[in-house]
Amino acid sequence: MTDLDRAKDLIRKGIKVDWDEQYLELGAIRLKSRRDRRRRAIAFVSVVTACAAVLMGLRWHGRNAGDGASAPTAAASAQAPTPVRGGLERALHFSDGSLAFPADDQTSLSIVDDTPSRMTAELTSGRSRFEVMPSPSRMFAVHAGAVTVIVIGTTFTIERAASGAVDVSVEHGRVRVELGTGYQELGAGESASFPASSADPASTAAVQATQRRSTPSETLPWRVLAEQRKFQEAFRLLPAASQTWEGPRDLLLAADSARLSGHPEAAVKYLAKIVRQYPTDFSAQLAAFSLGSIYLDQLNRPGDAAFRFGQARTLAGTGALSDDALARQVEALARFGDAVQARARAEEYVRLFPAGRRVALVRKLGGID
Amino acid sequence: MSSTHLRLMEAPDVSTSAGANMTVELAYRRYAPFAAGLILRITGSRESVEDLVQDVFLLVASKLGTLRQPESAKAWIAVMAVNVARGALRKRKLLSRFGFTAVESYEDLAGDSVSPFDRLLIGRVYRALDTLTVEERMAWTLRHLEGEKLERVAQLCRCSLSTAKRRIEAGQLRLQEVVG
Repeated sequence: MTDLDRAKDLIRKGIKVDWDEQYLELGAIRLKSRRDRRRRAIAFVSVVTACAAVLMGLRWHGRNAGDGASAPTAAASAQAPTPVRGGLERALHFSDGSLAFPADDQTSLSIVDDTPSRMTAELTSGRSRFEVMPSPSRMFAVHAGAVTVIVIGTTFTIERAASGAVDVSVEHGRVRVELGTGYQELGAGESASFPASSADPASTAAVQATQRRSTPSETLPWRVLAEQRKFQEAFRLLPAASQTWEGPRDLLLAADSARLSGHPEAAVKYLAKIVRQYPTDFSAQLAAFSLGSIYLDQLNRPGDAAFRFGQARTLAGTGALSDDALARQVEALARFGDAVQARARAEEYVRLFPAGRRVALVRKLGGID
Repeated sequence: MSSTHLRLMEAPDVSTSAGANMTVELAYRRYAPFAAGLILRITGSRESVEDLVQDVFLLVASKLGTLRQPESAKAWIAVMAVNVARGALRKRKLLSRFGFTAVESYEDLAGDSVSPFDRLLIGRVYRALDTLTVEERMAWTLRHLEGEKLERVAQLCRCSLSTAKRRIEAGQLRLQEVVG
């Protein structure tokens, strides 16, 4: 079997997506939002075309439309904080595609802010369901009395009960509920009731206790985005988040975000930190190997690559990565032009891994053949 | 050639034949992973796959009324996925001519179960594919990675059978030269 045949087999079997139910759900919500936006755009163009036709008709008949050109635009009216009452069919549309569905005629809900950086709604009475598009660059918040629900990207329902309490239940994703100086985070399937006033000392204390236990790193938007493989967006958020990272896992994720968004130099910084700070952790082997690959394949620095592959091999000991690290070190040395070292490492490879998959290539690169 | 892939675009999807009332949301939930896998293998770009799948289903939404046989939905969506992937490759090629080339990390296409060297091998294949014309790449990928019959490749590439064969051959020669 040739390398090409093996590669075809690997691609057929190994390259696929593993989208789970929640990911598909978010995708379906995004699709619906894009379709709605497209419909609205078509409707808007139709209205504009119709208006233009009417204006042209009026001019044709010699009527002066006066100051008709300065009539309020649809965009301006859409930004006004107009309360919407009742009915699932009366959904409120935010400009990023997020939706709010007032439950019934008793529900009073209005949009307070709808800007690229901040979207805010106010629930004065009743119950409403929200489908919020994920976006790390804007804050989405819903106020219900003293309770504020802050969202990253999720579907949840908030209700102002007759007793005065505010009930929040989360279907997907995660929200943060703020009350007074404290907050509580709710995940998918969780719900909680909060007093409408922050003056209730018992509830505020409970929320504050939760605040002390929470781990900030778990809810960092960049990490969520990186785990969803949205590396461009995750990378944009990295500099601001660096002080809250925890351990090699975050550093590896940050390196992936940098590397896979086309910033290999930034990835080098994070990977080198892993090797330096966590040399006994398994991630250090991976980090050193990745550093070698970046230097060799992306930054065209074969000398540095050879050093990092050597480091990966040392850290791996007799582990699984050792074979590949030594072979790639030979490749890097050959490209660096150090024929003597390349041959020495190639002979070492042949001695240690006589049946290794890369023997033929290593022999060739090392000048043994 | 993978028999699994051979069946993907031709066999009727029995699971949909019972429900003629196919909605876009239902189609998305059922076929988005399939379309994503297809697009991923064709373009080699994990970063853009989600956006491209969305584009596919926007097309599906606009043309759903023309789907006469719900049991052929999968093959129908595959055609749209192939068209969207072709458009993405053309756009990428065009941008690269003007120097706007994103660094594709093909080594990360496969999952963690694949060894670093096999990842490099996959990377070499995709980098070699980048050197082909979009038409050659599409024809070679559909034939050798998706396991399509020649007639189907010609149909999906909108060309004659002999042109499809010529493109596949050109791709194969280039891949053999680079990968071995």
